[in-house]
Amino acid sequence: MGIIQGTPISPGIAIGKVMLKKTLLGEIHLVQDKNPEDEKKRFHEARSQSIEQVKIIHQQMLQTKGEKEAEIFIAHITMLEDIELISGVESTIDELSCNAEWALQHISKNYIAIFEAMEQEYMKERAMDIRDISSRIQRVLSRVEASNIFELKEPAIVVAQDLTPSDTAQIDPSLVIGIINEDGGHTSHAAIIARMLGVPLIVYPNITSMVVNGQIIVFDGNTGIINLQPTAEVIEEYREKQLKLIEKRAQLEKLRGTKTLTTDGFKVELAGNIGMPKDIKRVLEQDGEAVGLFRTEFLYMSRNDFPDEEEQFLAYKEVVEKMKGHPVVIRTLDIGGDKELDYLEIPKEMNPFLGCRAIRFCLNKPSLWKVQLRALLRASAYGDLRIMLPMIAIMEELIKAKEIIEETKEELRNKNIAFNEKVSVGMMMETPAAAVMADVFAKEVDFFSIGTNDLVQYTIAVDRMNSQVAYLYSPYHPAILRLIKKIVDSAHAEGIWVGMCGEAAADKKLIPLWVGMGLDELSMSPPSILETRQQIQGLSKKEAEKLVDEILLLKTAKMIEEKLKL
Amino acid sequence: MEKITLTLTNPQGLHARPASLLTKVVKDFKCELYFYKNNVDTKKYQPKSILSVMSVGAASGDQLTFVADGNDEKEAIKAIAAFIQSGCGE
Repeated sequence: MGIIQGTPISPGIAIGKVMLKKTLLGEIHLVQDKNPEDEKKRFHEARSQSIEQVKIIHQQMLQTKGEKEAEIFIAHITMLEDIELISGVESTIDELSCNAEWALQHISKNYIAIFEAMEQEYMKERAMDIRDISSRIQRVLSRVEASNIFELKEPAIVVAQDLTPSDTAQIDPSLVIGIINEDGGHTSHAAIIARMLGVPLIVYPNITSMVVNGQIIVFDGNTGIINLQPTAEVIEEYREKQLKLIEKRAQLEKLRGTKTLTTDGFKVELAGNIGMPKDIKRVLEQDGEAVGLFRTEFLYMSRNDFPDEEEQFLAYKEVVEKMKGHPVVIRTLDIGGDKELDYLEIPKEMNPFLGCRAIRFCLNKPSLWKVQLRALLRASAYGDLRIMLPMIAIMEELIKAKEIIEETKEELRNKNIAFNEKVSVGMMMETPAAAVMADVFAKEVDFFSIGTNDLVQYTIAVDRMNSQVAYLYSPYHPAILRLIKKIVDSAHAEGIWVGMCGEAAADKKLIPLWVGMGLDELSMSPPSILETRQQIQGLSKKEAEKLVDEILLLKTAKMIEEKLKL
Repeated sequence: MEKITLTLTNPQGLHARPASLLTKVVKDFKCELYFYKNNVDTKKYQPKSILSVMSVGAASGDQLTFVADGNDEKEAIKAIAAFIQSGCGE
């Protein structure tokens, strides 16, 4: 009993007493027959005081939490100085001869309603900003102290209808054990700050009417489960979970900023996979050293037409700039197979995975592909952008692709548009044909990146979507491992780097093999980065090399997987 | 009177930051300014107001028509065009 399922927003375990967030302001009533000039003066004085308060919060945020988190308060200041807000309040006061409080509430309600009605979650959450600035002015008007809702004397779980950015700015993670909110999504300011500070957060509608101050509750920010009446055993169980998580996180946190080196000094670059420019944040949060795979097809999906050059250029430039000189490997359009575009008629194929997809599609439609290449080349002027070609199976494709890239460069040169003349061009290693010919391909490109998902599917001839043959799908298959070894050796023989960007790159059991084989880069979904770094820091390259030799003698995927478990 | 229609290209549309930047771009112009979205000129917005700009809910691909009337109307339209065409500083 007393177990409810909320929406998990920020992970972690919380055990503690409830502190309900106080509602500070009473209801605001319309009072007429006021002197408009006096009321306008009160409004402006309260507004200037509020601006001063926000400036102070902004400074504090800059110092304690960083530029990105402080930015919202710049927007608050702009809103407090907004001419429409001011003229709206002033004309309401003039028309009704009413109190400043009511006029402000009247105008801000209008804006809140407009923003709440918007479709995008991001814009909806801006309603919160207006609530925040208007209640700040109201507090000054009614002389309620600019109170700190987190005036906690002892650690507590904060339960609130909603938390404004000003509220969350004041969170002290040593006192706020956890937060349960009635509103807000993953992109709300509260969610972002909570995740950054490691404070667990769940959203559950109507929670404020379900608990009382001082009540002991527990919740799990990973699953969204809240237990309102935990028994001693449940509390003990959560306590253990919490300890484990804290230990694990503390160990991983220590690895931030450290190098990914084996005990004997071999370096592996740990990169993140992304689909959209906004994902770069997750890579940086997890201390990723590069972007090893930017899947550009997401820029082409969920829309009505191809993205134009400018839009793509801005997206690539954003990622490259945010990585500040660290490598960003961008894969050119990889559609077909299981990835379709609503606005593009691709004829039905018997075997789409073996059909006109990825580089085959692009070489068929060079003018379309050139739009992307122009955007990529232009963005290459802003950092270490590297172009990666997907699904190359034969040399002619690579030659043709490189020709088109050269043509595009020539066009940009003629127009005096800046790009990196020495931009790296590499290829995905995901067809067995390319893998077998890796020594030949290595002479023609600047790098390889092994796409294990497709390499497994094509090598073992197993459809990874078909559950009947799922038992065949295994990256532990000796054929796969031998191919990968061949790819790595061929790359190094020609002095080029080789990485991996499939799911196997973050497979704990396989990582010793990748280190032993000498892969230069592993690219994975960002949450795996720190854990992988921890694992690699405990490995010896020499030992790992021996393991590779032993593993490559084994006959079956099962034997290999068993051996790697040890 | 000067008038220009521009297409919004930055992926996130006119959210808080670009809206705030737009208000800064037009802040010091003395001419009368307003704009409307996708040729619906009955609903006018004020580029000097961040709340007004954000309440447009303009997304990437939307057409924004800016109208300026006054001494520095040409300069104002030029500055706005440069800002929107650069992807709103994104």
